[in-house]
Amino acid sequence: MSQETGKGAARRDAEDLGRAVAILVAVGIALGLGFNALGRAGTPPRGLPWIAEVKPLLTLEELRGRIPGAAPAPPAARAPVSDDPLALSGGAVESGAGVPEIPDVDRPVKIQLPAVKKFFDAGAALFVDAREAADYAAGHVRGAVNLPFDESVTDPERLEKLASGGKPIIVYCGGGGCEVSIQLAGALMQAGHRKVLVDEGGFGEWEAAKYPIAKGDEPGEATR
Amino acid sequence: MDAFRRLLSDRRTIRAGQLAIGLIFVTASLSKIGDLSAFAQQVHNFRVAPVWSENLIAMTLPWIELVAALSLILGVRPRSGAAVVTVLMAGFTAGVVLAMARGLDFECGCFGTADHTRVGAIKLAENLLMLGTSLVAVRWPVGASPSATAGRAY
Repeated sequence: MSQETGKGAARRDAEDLGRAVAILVAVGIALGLGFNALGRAGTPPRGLPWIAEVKPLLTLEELRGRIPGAAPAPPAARAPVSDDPLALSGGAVESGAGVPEIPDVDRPVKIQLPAVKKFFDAGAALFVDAREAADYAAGHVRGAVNLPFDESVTDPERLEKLASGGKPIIVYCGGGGCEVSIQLAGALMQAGHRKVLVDEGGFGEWEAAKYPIAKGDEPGEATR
Repeated sequence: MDAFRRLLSDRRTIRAGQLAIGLIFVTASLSKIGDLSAFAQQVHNFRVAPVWSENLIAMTLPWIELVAALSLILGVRPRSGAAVVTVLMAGFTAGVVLAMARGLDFECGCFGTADHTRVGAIKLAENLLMLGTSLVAVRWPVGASPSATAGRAY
């Protein structure tokens, strides 16, 4: 009998705790939604859109045909089919300098190592290292400037002051799924830069391929 | 072992733990509420929720943290506050472990933009310590006798 009573008390106890937790969570959700609604109604409007916009990064190949103005170039301008492992995958349009033509779209574009190397060889892009200063000093793509994403948050002027000389900007971090290059690329676009590319493989892939690197605080000569 | 158990169930120890966790959560939540856009980005970095839901999580989660933290600090229904904190900490810890397992490297965002600690072993250790403290506060909530089978301080 006392065991039954004990079980009943434990169940009531759990129910009471569950109810109290539900009330607490509901209050938190209501405050959060209310705060955001107030922010969105304010002048200037603040707060977040209710539903997050999905804007995934696309590769050059994925972009072609999807974005108006980024349609494929005539067949004559297409890259020739090649067995060269460094060649771009089919469909990428190359400019006269042998580097892919970058469509002017509203989001950063992903590119892979072969295309990154072509930009490097042609000196046709500004390389930006989004990692911390210590990582940059330990080794970076030769000629790349260091703009750690964390510092771009605390000092947004650095984003605006970045001088690309009209070239596309290639942002990279450590590779292997690191996010700061994507975040920095988005921040650069918000700061007014166009044609911002994200090197998906990052420095890890670059270094593994034994491509030119420099060490220390200075970018180093961006030559082969 | 008994001495450790006694220490854990001592009212002063638990109260100190509640206050510490409460203050940490108040700081964390206010920092996130102060810059919701940055926190939404950090939610996105973890890649554990559908993208469409990330803003809803970013706008409500800090307030749930704040309410739970205040319940712990003020001692008003501290057991439910501790239970919420425990569930949140378990979720955050799982997020850190998943991110580490997937080789992701980004700022935790556990304290909004005020925290530049990256996801990794140190963050995991911090989370486990806080998870343990909040579990103790659920098991022996201040406001009920430590020897009671279950507290009334929901």
